[in-house]
Parts: sequence; structure tokens; C-alpha cells
Amino acid sequence: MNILVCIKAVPASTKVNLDEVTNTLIRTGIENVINPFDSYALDLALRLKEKYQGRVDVLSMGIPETEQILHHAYSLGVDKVTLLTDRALAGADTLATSYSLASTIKTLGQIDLVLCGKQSTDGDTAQVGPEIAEMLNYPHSTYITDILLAEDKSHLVVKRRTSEKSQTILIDLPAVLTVVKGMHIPKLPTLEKYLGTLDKKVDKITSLDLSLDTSRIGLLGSPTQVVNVFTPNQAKRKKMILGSLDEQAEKLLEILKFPKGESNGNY
Amino acid sequence: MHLIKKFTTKDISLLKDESRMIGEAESVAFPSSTKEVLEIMKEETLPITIQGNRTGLAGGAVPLGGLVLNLLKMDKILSLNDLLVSCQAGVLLSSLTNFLDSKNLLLPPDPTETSASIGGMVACNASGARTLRYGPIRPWVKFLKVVLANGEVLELTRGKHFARGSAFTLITNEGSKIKGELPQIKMPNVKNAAGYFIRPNMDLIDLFIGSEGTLGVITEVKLRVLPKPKKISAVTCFFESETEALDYVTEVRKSEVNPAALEYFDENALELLRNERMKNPAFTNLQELPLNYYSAVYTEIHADSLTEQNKLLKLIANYIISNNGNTLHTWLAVNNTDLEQLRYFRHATPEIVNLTIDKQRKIYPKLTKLGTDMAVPDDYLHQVMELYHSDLREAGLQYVIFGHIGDNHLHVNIIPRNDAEYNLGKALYLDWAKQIVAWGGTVSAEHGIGKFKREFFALMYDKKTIAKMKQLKTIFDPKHRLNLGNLFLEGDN
Amino acid sequence: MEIIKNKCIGCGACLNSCSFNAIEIIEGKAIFNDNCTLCGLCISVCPENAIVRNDKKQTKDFSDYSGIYVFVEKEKNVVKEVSYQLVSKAKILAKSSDDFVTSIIINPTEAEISKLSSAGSDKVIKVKANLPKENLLANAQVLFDIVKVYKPNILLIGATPDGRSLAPRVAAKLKTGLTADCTMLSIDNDLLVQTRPAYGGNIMAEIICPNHRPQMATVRPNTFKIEKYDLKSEIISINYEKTFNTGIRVLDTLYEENKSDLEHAEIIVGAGRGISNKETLELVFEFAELLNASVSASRPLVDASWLGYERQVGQTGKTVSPKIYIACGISGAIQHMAGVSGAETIIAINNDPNANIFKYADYSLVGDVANVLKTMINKLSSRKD
Repeated sequence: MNILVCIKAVPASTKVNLDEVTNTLIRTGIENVINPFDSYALDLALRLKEKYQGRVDVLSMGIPETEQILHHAYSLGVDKVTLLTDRALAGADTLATSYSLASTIKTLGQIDLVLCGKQSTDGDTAQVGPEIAEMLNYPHSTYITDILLAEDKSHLVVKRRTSEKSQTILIDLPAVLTVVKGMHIPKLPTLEKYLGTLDKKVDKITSLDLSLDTSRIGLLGSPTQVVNVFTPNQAKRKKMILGSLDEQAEKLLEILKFPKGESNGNY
Repeated sequence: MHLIKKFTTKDISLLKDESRMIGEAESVAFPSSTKEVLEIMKEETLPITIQGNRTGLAGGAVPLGGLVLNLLKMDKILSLNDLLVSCQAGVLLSSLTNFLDSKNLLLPPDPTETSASIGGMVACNASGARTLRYGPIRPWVKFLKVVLANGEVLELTRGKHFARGSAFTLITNEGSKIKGELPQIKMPNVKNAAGYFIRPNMDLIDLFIGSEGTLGVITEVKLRVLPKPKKISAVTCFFESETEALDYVTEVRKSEVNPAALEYFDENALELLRNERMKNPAFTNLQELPLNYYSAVYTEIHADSLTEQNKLLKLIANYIISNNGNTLHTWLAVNNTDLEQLRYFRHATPEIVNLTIDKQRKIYPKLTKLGTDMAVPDDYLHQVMELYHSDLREAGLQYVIFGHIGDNHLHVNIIPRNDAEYNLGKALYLDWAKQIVAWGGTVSAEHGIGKFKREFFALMYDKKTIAKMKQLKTIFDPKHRLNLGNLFLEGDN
Repeated sequence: MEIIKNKCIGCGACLNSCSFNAIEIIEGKAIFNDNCTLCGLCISVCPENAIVRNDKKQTKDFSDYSGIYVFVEKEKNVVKEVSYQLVSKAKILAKSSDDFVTSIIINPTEAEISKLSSAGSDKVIKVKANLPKENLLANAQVLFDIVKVYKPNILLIGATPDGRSLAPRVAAKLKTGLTADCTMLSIDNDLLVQTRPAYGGNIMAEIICPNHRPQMATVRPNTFKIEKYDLKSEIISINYEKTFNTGIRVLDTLYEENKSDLEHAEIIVGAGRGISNKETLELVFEFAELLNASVSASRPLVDASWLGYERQVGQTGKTVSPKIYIACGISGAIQHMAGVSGAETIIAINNDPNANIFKYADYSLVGDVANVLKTMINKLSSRKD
């Protein structure tokens, strides 16, 4: 089975530090890593390869600086890493990202299964996987914890687990699955693989190499647009629940219903 | 008087520390400044036990009556200038580490227990995995503010106040002169946290570091820190036999790899981790252990560039292979997330031992963990391991051995299954201490003596020497009010 | 994005805000390099307002798109609360922009339709269809076909696990924008302003979709209240007869098992040292049951064998990331907090006003845990009746 795993380099911590003096954001010094959900996807792919042979390739879209993070995938046992990168792709929302990735996937040869992390820890949208699937015209399923059966190349039996239910699903191949943490913690790289793959290169390609439709990539190709970014005032959010026992309980009920504060409520 | 409160049931957790020994107290105070500590010191006439976050393993913070002086409200980081960070004694290591992290700085010794307080760490001369390369906390302490039992303040800056031969004089902020003689003692030439640090012509700040709160209350500390190394990475490798692992350690620690840390896991530790991972959902996040290996070594390296890191990793690979290890069965961490995992594996070992003992204790309430903290000189590493294994096997005890093998400082944790085994283990412990002292080692390399290990302390130093150390305490604390029971048994002159 | 040269004072504030090393100061002025992902985090940081985004304006004519539509999600044949919440919010938005609200629901009951009416639905599109069970891809296809015909200006879907799987599939079919997991919605000049948390909720982003229709958003459950309107919805009945192969088949579904599963739980009630007797512990379980929450413990309770180790949360136990963590009698030692740092909202109940937990809590209640729980249980169980 040939598996392609889509991964993204994200800041290791989603913590946003505020400079006490200027009250501004400080995000420097935060290491970038492979998005944790993507690590689960990658680990699942590598375990499948161990069991059923085939190959595991990796595709990412991002800035050139992420090359070293992506190279890390080689030390885990990935066969080939491709990085789609150029200035024209910057500012892509999920639709433009999915178009760029799906178009690249079509050029990568025979692929039986595309795995993505459920979502990235910086964007948290969980949209790229299903959107890639639609653009490739593959079926998809989300919140996958395990692949139970992969006997032939025509379909898989997978385990899906959300906060509400767990399901067993039969899915035709090729397909796209988005992965959450399953039974295993992703395996660490080995010294052998790390030292043995130091000379391997990340294959860097641009939107020109693929002759992507420029009206569908980057900022230009993104239907959505961020118009404002702000940090919720943490101090303001901290609330004491006061009053009589009954009043406290009433307020608590309200909070349980609207933990983030209802937009027209009083919390 | 408002600072001192009556001890009530809600303070009950302050009666014990990680040694799980339970003490007693009449009153409690939570000062937030040196000034408040001074007020309390003047006000209070009862014995005083100083506490940080009670993470000690030797009962040092367990009160034996009197006042509990808990410094956790002294939690301010005061300043950072030119790689010198000042903080109050109650700051937790985790807060300080977070702060330093954001400035890309590192407190080199890196004690394992991140919820320890800085004051407690200095009072016990704490060390950690990286002590192999950077030493314990002692050399990194550049300044101390100490409140003495007489209600005066001593400020000690490293490099400023030395003993002349064995004679010393210190002047408090209030102008009192404290004069005394240092006893002559022979300290072991290994990583050590047992008793006072005493040497002719010594820097007197060192007398307070590791004094376990018996000389005064440390209220403020200034530490030297380092810029973070550009590349921190680590490898856990596995060997079929312990001898191979020990040979690897002996070779790699004196090589140009210059490891920051070398940590060991013996066969029993690995077996325990393997089992717990399978049956306990809390440990499913442990890596899967490769089969047919009976010992593991964690090697951490610090490098200034990727090129240097890769060069050192190649060297490590060679040492692994030449000692019959296999680089395919290794866990490599070259980023913080993966490093965290390897550390989690290390920390899980004592946690699982504690869990196992907690289960036994339901049947035998008297049981506690028997954990050793002894270190030997380099030449005795193979011998001490042999001593441990042969004695324990002969006694038929359940045990694990793990820890700071780079410093020849291994923790033997005996897991007694009943009271008889507990007593058997205790006897072995005492035998080993005698042998290790004879080899020039220490009975406590990092945990300190506290109230738990006075018996072992008495093996390291003869009665006369201990009496002289006690006289030294009397100079600073004439009525013996501070940290009663630590190092010395009262009324035992 | 652009840096206005004569406004920039070269202070470097933007440098620190950038995760991607995408800003450099050259000759006293900030410039973007190729690393820039246009995330916009630096904009709010600049003290001189020298960084601006070249906002896209609406350029196309969308006069044939109208109405706010809500896709109604059902689970186990029951409409999800979030769907009614969205209808009510849509009604508020519609009133402000003189628009109408339409619910799209597959195989509804009469009761469901009338509840959608009272929540504020002006119209209900009632789809009669024989679809493969629990098949999200089939639902996506139906929704796409309806949207193609009815041309909504706005389409809202609950940000439930299934909603978040279906919505992007539909958005990609429609080649339109989709904003995930919104927590605030407003209308500004016919444009839906969608506010959502990013970076684990540490940052909020306002997002618009000016040149594509419908404007699509998934909205987090329990963000908006269900209102009551005296409304009789216009019913539009559709017989959906198309058949297709979706490529997936749900073989089986289990609902109950996740409750004891801390790592996947949405609400966790944590019990700590302050739970001083077993009766109070019983209350914790009763309370959790009513909330459909899982129960966790801090180390002291596990050490005392009151609860099993599988429930321990903290440095030496599990790490959890529920939407709501209710800490009952938990002191808040950092070892414990290390295990719950992923919780979105922390509610703390403790009788010690100085307890460390209050430093971390979003909502703090100082009081006797047993009394608070008893009162809550009374209120919750009376509501269920």
C-alpha cells in the first residue's frame, strides 16, 4: 500500500506570552515541530507499512524554513518528503491549501491512502483533510484512531472515535482519513535511521512546477480573509462566582451551558 | 503576632514531605518577605522547621513540634542581570525554569523534581541528571540572604567571605560578629549531599549550601545561569547485559562526547516499565520497549551546532556498537517534544515503584520504599553494581536499580512485600553504606541526610566529627531552634 | 500585508510576535521576508499601527443569494441542541439585516419542525430521503444539492465532530470559504463577521468571506441561547431521490463507552483532597452523571485508594483536554495542573480562598464543595424532569 501523509510544521507551543511592559505578543523562541495530530497520522502510516509493506511519503506546504523539521520524517522511516513552497502560496486559507495539496497529490503517482492529522494545533480548523478528499473525489472519514483491517487495496476497516461515539467504518480506497491519538504513542526516531538519512534531501517544489491555477492559491485564492486578530483579555475572563449558595449554583449552571461566555450574556 | 497562626487540621499536609514521614506542629507561618521572616524569628520561641514545597525524600521539612515556617509565599523572581537571576526562596523550580526558558536561559544542574523550591534546593545542595556535566547547584549559587536564629541577617556573596585556615568571622547586617572554628573533616571525593561542606580557607557561602536549614533560613538566592545550548539531544540505548552497559558508560563519559547526563535502567526497572505500560492506562504513553534487552542507558548531549550534534551522535553510535548494542533499537530525541518523552520514561520509573509500594502498604501499613542515594568513586562502579545485585538476589528481594550512572550514583529501590523483607532490606542498606564509605563514597549524593539518614551519616563521620559539626551549628543557632532533627539527633552530644 | 515605511519606527515589537522569523529590521525599518505566512499576528502588536492588511473588498454581485440557512444535525434520531441554538442566533442576525432564516432538516418529525419554528426559523426545508445510515458523505451531498438550488447568503452548521467533518466537504464542493468553530457572529454590510479562537484559544481572529457564497461557518455548541418565538414556519418539502455511492459504510456505532474515557471527555469533574468523605465523593459522581461528564481525581484521592489510578490526572497520571474542567476540592498543585493545562475552561470550587487552583481557574467559587454539589444536583435533576 502506498500511503501519503500530509503534515504541517507548527509552533511547539500554542502559548502566547505577553510582554509585561509593552503588553504585546511574544512568540519568538518557540520551537517549530511536526503538528502533533500529524505525528499520529505518520505513526499510523509507518505501522501499516511495517505490517503490509509499501511506502510512506510525506507532503507539506509551508515556508522554506520548515525543511529541517520535515527532514525529521526521514529519521522515522519515511521514504520521501516533498515540500510545496513559494511566496505565491502564502496566506492560503483552508480551501486554497486543500486545492494546492490535492493538486500536488495528483502528481505524486499511485497513492492508495492519504492520512492527515485531525487538525493543526495552530489553526485548529480540521478542514483541510475533508476538503482534500472532495477535491480528489475520494471518500473521507475523520477522528480515526486505528486501522483495523487492510487486507486488500480496495477498502479498509477503520475505527472512528469522537467525544460522542465510536464507530467502525468500511471505506473504499483510495481514501482520505484524518487521525487522532489512538492506542499508541508515536515511535521515536532511531539513531540508526537518523544517521543513515542525514544526506537525504527534502524535495522542494513550487506552484510553477505544478502549474497550479494562480487564482486558486495563496491569499488571492482564499475565499476567507482574516480582518482582525486580538488576544482575549485573560484578566477580564477570570470571574468570581459570588452570592448566596442558590445564586452561586444558578450562575454555575449558566457557565456550564456557556463556558466561553455567551455573546449577549453577562459573563 | 498575626504572622504566626495556630496549626489546624487544614494545615495537616504540612506535617509531611515526600519521605512520607509524619511530624507534628503547634503553629504555622507563611511569610512573604525577609522582613516577615525576621519578625517571626524574633517573635517565636519554639523550635522552627523551615519548609519549601516539601519535595525532600529525607524528612528534612518534617516538623518535630513547634512552628512550621513555610516559605512558599516568598515566590517572587526579583531580577535578571548578566546571567545572574535573583529570587526569593519559595520560588518553585518550575516557575524559575519557565522564566529562564522564555529568555533562552538554563539553570544547568536541572533537578528532576521541578516542583522543588529554590531555597530547598540550595539548602540541600540539590543535583540532577545534568550534574554529571555541570555539577550540583553549589557552584551556581552566587549570593545568599540568610536570616539567623538571633533575628539578624547575613548576606553572603561568593568570592567575598573566606575562612582563614579554619578560623572564620562573619558580620551580620546588624553589625554582630560571628566567629568560629571549622572542624577538620575529610569529605568524600564524589557527588555529595551528606552534611556540611567544610574545607580550610573555604568560601563561607558554601557552609550554608547543603546545610539543610540547620544554620539559618535562606530567604533570597542569586544563581548564575547559562545561555541554553543550541542543540540538546538524547539517546536511550539498550544492552543485552549490564556489563556491556557499564562498559559503555565508562567509555562514553570520559570521551569527547562529554555527556550532560547518563542515566541507567536495570533489567528489573525495564521489566516493571514494560508490565505497567501494558496494564496501567496511565502509562500507555510510554514507548514500546524492545524485547530481549536487559539494561538501558540514557545519554544526553549539549552541542553548539547541528554539525557538532551530529558528530557527537555518530560517536555515541560507535560506542553503542562497540559494546554490543544495536543502533536500530534506540530512541533518539533531537527536539524538545521528544526529549520530554525520554524524560517521562525516566520519571515513570520511581513513580511506578511508589505505586507498587502503595499497593503493598494496604496490607502492611508500616512499609515504605527503601531507596538508596549512595555514590562511589569511578573505579568502583562495576563493583558496587555487583554488590547490590548479589546481595539482593541472595536475599530474594524485589528491587530496581536506576539513576545517575555517570556519577556512579545509582538509586537502589527495594520493594518490600512484607515487614520481614522490609527489615532485611534495611539491614542490607546499612551494610552497603559501610562498604561504600570504605570505598571513599557517600551515603547521600543528593537527597541529604534529613531525619531519615542520620544513621548512615554516623557511618561516614565518627562521633567526634559529628559533635564538632554540631558545635558549628551552635555558633549560628545557640539554642538549636532551627530544623531540629536534621543531621543531628538532639540531646546526643 | 504591508508595512507603511514612514510610520515604522523600527522598534522591533513585531519581530517578537512572529513565530516564523518572517520580519527583519533593515536600516531601522521592519520588512517582511519570504517566511511570512500572512497570519497577521504582528498587526495588533505594532504601536504605530504601521502594519496594515490590504483588505479585499466585496467586488462581485451576490444579489441572487439571500437568507441565513442552518443545517440541522440529528444524532440517534434526535436533533442536536446546537441546531436550535444556531436557528435562534440566525434569527437575531436576520433581524439586524432584514433577512430570513431557513432550517434544512432531513426526515424530520412534526415536533422537530415546530421546535425549529419556535427557535426562530422562518422557513423549514423538509427533506424526505432514504439515505444510508449515519453516512456523513451522503448528508454532504444532499446539503450541496439543496444549497445549489436555494442559494443561501449564509450557511451555518454546528461545530460538532460530525458537523466539522461534513461542513468542509460541502464547502469544497461549493468552492467557498468556511470558518471553523466560531464563537461569535455578527453582520456588517451584508458580510458575516465570524470570530473564532486560534492557537488553542489564545488568540481570537475575525474572519470574513467577501467574494464567495454562501458564507459558511461551523459554530461551537453552547455558544448561543435558544430563544422562543411565536412563529409558524413556511414548509418547503423536498423528495430527494438521487442515489449515489459514497464510498463509506458505517458498520457499527457505540454511544456509551466514552464516558469513563478521560482523554476524550468534553466535561470532566475532578475530585481532590478537599473531598473529605465518601459521601461527598458520591455527590461528585451524581453531579457528573447529570452533566454527562467523566470523573477524574488528583493524586491524594488515588493514593488513598478512593478512586482508581486510571482516573488520576496530573504529571504522574493522565493529561486531559476537556472543554470544561470542574475542579472540586482540588488544591491546584502544579503537578496536578500539568495534567489539565489543556482544559479550555476551568471552574474551581474550593473552601480555601487561598487555594492555588484559583490562580488557574476561569471561574472561582469559594464554598463548601458538598453544599455546592447538593444544590447543583437538585437544580439539574429538577430541570431534567
